[in-house]
Formats: sequence, structure tokens, C-alpha cells
Amino acid sequence: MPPDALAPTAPAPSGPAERRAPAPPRRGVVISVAAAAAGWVLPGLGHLLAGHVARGLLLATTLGSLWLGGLLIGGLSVVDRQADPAWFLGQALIAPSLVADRYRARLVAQHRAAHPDAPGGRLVPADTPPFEPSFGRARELGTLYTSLAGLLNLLAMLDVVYRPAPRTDGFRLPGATP
Amino acid sequence: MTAGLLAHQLFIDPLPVGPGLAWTLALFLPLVAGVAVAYKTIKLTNLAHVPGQALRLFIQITLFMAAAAFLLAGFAR
Repeated sequence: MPPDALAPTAPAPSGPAERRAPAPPRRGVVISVAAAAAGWVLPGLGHLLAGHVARGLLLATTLGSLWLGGLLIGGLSVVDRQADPAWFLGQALIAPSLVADRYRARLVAQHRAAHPDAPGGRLVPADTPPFEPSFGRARELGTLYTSLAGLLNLLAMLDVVYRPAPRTDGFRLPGATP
Repeated sequence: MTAGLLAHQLFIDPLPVGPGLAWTLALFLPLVAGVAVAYKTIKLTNLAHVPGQALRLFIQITLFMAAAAFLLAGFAR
């Protein structure tokens, strides 16, 4: 028996469609993770860098609009790591939420330093804070918008990791095989 | 009123959201539309199908949410 007889062989293509379809191009793990990280920094940026330009622009528009819409409805106080840690887990899946939370915390710290006699805890309008705290429906919806934007961005980050590189033109990350 | 509007800082202060169906729809429908478009953008291979599929998902979510609202309102009474 020749030695090649026991070696596994690739199955022969069974139909014309199978013969025509080439294997999807693959990216390296590092490139995929870098694209996902870029998507965390700015929604859609990972897809843009990976060559999925139209998909990236669509994701940037929709997820960016959801996140900004949440801030527009509920104001800066909807991104609050101390007051709503569970919601913040969802919001933190978009990196600008961390910046917004940091900015809010800085404003609160400056206000508390200027008014040391004010009571602690969540700011209320009677404290005359530097920004108007949101309550009720505005807070709920603003939190929901920003958290859903973050959770959808998690799906987008996972998608850019597992999506094959495009065969069409577009700028690619270095190392992406055509 | 005017002084309050002038003092309002966009993205810093919250919108003066009021009660009523108009505010509910104005705030709920963009959220559903955004979720539908973003989800279908990720899910579909061919982006040409996104508008139709997203519209279908938008209608489905809206109808199911309305049905759930009526159901819960019925239980509450």
C-alpha cells in the first residue's frame, strides 16, 4: 500500500457552484481584535478599517445617533457609573461613554468643592448643580438609548471579528489578505 | 420660558419631556428604528436588503410593544 493511501484527502467538489466559490479571505487574529477595539472607540470604525465601508458608515450613523440621542434626551446625568452601575456596563461598550462619565464626575467634583456644605449623594435641582439632573421618563429613555447603543456595538464588535475580509475594493488593515 | 430655553445646554441638560402620546411616540419610534437598522446591518450579508428588512423588524417591534402595552394595561385595570 503506498503511504499516500492513508493520508486524508480533501473532498472533491460535488457541484459547479461549489467549484466556483473560492474560500473567503481570512484576517489574522491581531487584525480582527484591533478592528474590534477600533469599533469600541468609535462605532463602525472597525468595519471601516476592515474594508466594510458601507456597513461601517451605516453602523456609525445608527449607533452614533442612538448614543447621542440618549444624551440629548436625558442629558449628561444618564451616564453615571456610581448611580447606575448595571446600566453603565452596557453604556461602557461604547468608549465615549467613559469620557462622558469622566466629564460628568469632574463637573460634580468641582461643584462639591465649591459648595462643601451641600449634602452628598445624587445631585438634585435644589443644589444648583452645573448641569440639570434628569429624572423620570427623560432619564429612563436616555439611559435606554445609550445602553442599547452600547449593547448593539458589542454585536458590531463581534461581527467585525468573525466577518471575512471583503473581496471588493476598500482600504484594508495591513496584513489583511485579499 | 425664553430664558429657560436659552440656558438649556444640549447634550448636557435633559429635554423637558412631558407626558402624553406625542412624547411617547417621538421618543420611542427613533429608538426602535435605530435598533432595527443597526441589527439588520450586522445580521444581513447583503446590505441592499437592509431597508426592507429593517422596516419589517421596525413594524414587528412596534406591534409587539403595543400589544404588550395593551395587555399590561388590561392587567392593571
